[in-house]
Amino acid sequence: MPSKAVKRARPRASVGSIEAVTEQLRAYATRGVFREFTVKESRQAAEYRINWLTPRPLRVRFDAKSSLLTLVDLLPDISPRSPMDLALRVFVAGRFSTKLPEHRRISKQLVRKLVVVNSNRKTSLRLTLNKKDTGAGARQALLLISEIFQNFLAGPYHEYMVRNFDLRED
Amino acid sequence: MANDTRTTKNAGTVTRRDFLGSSASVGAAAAAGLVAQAASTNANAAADAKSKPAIRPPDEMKTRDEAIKPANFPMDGAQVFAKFCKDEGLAALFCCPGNYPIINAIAAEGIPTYGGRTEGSMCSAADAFSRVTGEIAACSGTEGPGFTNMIMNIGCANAARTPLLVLASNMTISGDDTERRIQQAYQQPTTEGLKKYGKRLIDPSRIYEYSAYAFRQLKTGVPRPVHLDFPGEVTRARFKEPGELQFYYDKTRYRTESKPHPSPADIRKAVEMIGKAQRPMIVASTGVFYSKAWDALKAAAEKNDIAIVESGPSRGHFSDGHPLSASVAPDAMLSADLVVLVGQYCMPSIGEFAFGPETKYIRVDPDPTDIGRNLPIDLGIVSCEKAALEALADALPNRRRPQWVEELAKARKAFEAENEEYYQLGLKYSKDTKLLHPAVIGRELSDFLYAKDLPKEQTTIAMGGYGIARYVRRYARAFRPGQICNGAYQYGAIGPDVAYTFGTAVAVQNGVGPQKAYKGAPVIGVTGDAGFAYSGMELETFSKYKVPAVIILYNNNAWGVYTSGRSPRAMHMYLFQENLRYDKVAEGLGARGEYVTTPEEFRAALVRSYDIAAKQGVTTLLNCQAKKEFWSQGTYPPGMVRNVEPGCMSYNH
Repeated sequence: MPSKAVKRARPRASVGSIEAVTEQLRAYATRGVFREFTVKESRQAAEYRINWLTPRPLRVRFDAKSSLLTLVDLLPDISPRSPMDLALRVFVAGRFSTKLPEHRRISKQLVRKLVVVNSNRKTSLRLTLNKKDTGAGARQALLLISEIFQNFLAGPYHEYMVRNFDLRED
Repeated sequence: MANDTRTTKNAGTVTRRDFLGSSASVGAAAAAGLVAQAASTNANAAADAKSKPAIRPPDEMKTRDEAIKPANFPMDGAQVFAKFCKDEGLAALFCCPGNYPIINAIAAEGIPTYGGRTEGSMCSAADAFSRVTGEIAACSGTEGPGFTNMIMNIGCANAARTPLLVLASNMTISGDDTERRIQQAYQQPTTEGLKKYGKRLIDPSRIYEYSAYAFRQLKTGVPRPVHLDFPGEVTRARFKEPGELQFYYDKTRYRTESKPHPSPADIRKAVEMIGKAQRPMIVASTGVFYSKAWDALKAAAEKNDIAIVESGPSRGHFSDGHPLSASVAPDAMLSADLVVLVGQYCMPSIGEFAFGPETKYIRVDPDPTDIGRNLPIDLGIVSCEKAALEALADALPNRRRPQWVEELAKARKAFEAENEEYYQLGLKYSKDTKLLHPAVIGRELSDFLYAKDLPKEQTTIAMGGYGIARYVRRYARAFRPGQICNGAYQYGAIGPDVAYTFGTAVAVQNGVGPQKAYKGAPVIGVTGDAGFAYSGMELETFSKYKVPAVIILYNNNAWGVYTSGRSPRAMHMYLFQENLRYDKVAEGLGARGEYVTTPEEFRAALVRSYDIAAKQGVTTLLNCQAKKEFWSQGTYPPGMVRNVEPGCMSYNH
C-alpha cells in the first residue's frame, strides 16, 4: 500500500496510466505469452524488458506524462530510406486501415499517434496512447509487434532475420 | 537433351483410368523401356548400347511373387518374430542385406519387402511409407556398419513421431565385448534419445514377449521408432512348440485397442471456450493422421465453422480446397482468438506458430506429460485425437461464422496473389538468366497436378529439398489424407529425399491406407542437388522394382546455405561444380533423366515424365538447372522466402 506522501508525490493520472500498462503487460506474462518479463518503474515512467517472439529481448518504455509508449530499437540494422525502411513505414501506417478486420486494426481511439523513428539504423516505434485507457493502448502495441514479426517480417526478410534475430540459417 | 529416344510421342496427361488400364501392360513395356533407358543419343553411348550389356532388372525379380510360405512350428527365432510381425500387420520392410534370418523370414511370411542401396535410405523409405499410410513399416540392416548407417534416418523418424520398427542383427551374446570377427557394436546406447523403446534381445525364449513389447509401443500413445537388435543365438534358436516361448498368447492379451477418451467436463469446457471465440482454429497435426481422425475433424469443423490448419510430417487430413481450410491462408493465423492443437506431438515454442498475443490455447494429446510443454495452455485434454474430435463434433452446437469464413477466403486469396507475384518474378528471372527459378518450378508443378486433367487428389508428393521446398510447399496442395509427405519435418535432414520418395511411391503402388484409391499412380519427389547425394543411388531401387515417380532435382550448384560462406576463403566449402548432370547419373542407374533449364522445357518434361511413369512404371529424374544467386534477396527478391507456420509451409513443427 503506497504511503500518503507517495500518493501526493505522484499525479493520480500518471500513476494510473503506468499501472494500467504494467498490469496489462503483466497479464500477458502471467498467461505465458512471454517467456520472460521484467519491469522497472519510476514516478513518471516505466521500462519493460520482454522476451517474447525472438531470442532478442524487447525493450518497451512508457512515459506517463506524455503517454508515450516506445518500442525501443525494435528492429536493428535497417538503413534509413532503404526499401525495407520504406516498406516498414507503409506497413505500420497500414495497420490503421479500415480495410483490415477490426481485430487486426490499430485503433485510433487508443493509439493517437504512431511514429516510426530510424536512428543510427535502429528503428523504434513511438505510440502516443490515449491517456484514458493506456492499458488497452499497450495491448495495441503488442498487437503491432506481433503483426511486424509474424506478418511483415515473414515476407522477404529471411536474411535479415538470420542476421539480427538469430534465426537459424537452415 | 539426351532422352529423345525414350520420350513418348503422345505426351498427354494421365488419368487414374490411364494408369490402372496400363498396369496390365506394364511388365512388357517396362522391360523394353528399361532396356531403352540404357541408350543415349550421343554416338559413344549408342555404340555402348550395342556392344555392352544393357541395364536390366535381375531375373530373380520374378521369383519375388512365388507362393508365400508362412512358417509353422517347429520354427526358429527369426520365424517366430516374422510371424508375429505378419499378425500385427507390419505393412512393409525396407532393408539392405544383413540381419539375414529376420529379413528372409519376413519375406517368407509375405510381408512386402524391398532391398535398396543403403540402410539409411531404406530406413527413410520406411519412414515415408508410414507418413503417407499411417501404417507401421520396418527397416533393417546388418550389425555395426549397416545399423549405424541408419542413425540420421532414425533421427528423422523420431522427430517426425513415426511408428518405425528398426531391426538389426548384432553378432552373438557369447561374443559380447570380445570384438571377435567384425562389426560388433553396442546398438541400444546409439539410439538413445532417438527412439521410444529399444531392446537387445538376450533370452531366445522371450523373443515373442519382446515382440509384444515392441508392438505395444508402436501401436499406442505417441508413436516413435522402436529398435530391436538380434544376437545370433536368438534368431537361430529352435522352438518345437509354442510352450517353449514365454508369454505366447494372442494380441488381444498382450495389448489393448482401447484409447484414452476425453472427460465430459473437459469437452464441456472446450465447447464453452469455442462458443466464446469469434475465430476458432484447429491445428490438425500428426496425431490426427495416425488416429485416422479426418472424418471427425471435418465433422467438428463444419458443425461450428472452425478453421482448420495443418502441421506435421504429412498433409491432407483436411483438404486445402475446403472453405474452412487455413493451411494456405497464412495471414489468417494472427486472427485466430482460440487455437485447438490436436495431435501436435512436436510442440512449437512461443513465437514459432504465427498466432497473436490474445490467442488462447486448448491442447488435445494422448500424453499428459507433454501437455503444457513449450506453449502454455488454457485447457489441456488428455485423449486420443479421434475420440476428442468425435466428442467435440457431438457436443458442439451448429453455428455459422460468416465473417470468419470470409476472412479465411480473403487470406487464401492474398496468399495466392503473393505466390502469383513470386511466379511472375520467377518467370522474369528465368527469362533473364535462361535458368529455372524455384517459383516457376513450384507453380508449373501445381498447374500440372491440380489445374489440368489429373484428378487433383491423385498425386502424392514427397516434399524435400531445402530452398526449393520453401517455394514448392507454397504451391503444393493436399486434398486427401497422406497426399504430402513433409520430408525435412523437424529434423531438417535434406538428404533422405529420394528415399522418402521411394517409400511414398511403394505405398501408392501397393495402395496402402489412404493411398488405396490411387494405387499405381506415379508420385512426385522434390529434392535439391545437396540432398541428392545422400540417397540418389536409390534411383536404382526405383528401377529395380519398377516403382513410378518423377523426381524434381533443383540444381543450383551449391548447398542451400551457401550464403553462410562469409569470406572468399570459406566460400568453396559451400559450392559444387557447376551444371552437374544428375540426369546422366539417373540414366546410369536404369532410370530416365532429363536436363531442363527453361520453364518451357520443364513444363514439357514434366508431362512427358509423368506419362512414362504412369504407362511404363519408369522413374525420371528432372535435373532443373538454376543458380545459387536465386537465394539472394538483394539480387533476386524475394530470395530465400521465410516459412509461416502452421500451414502448408510448415516444416519445423
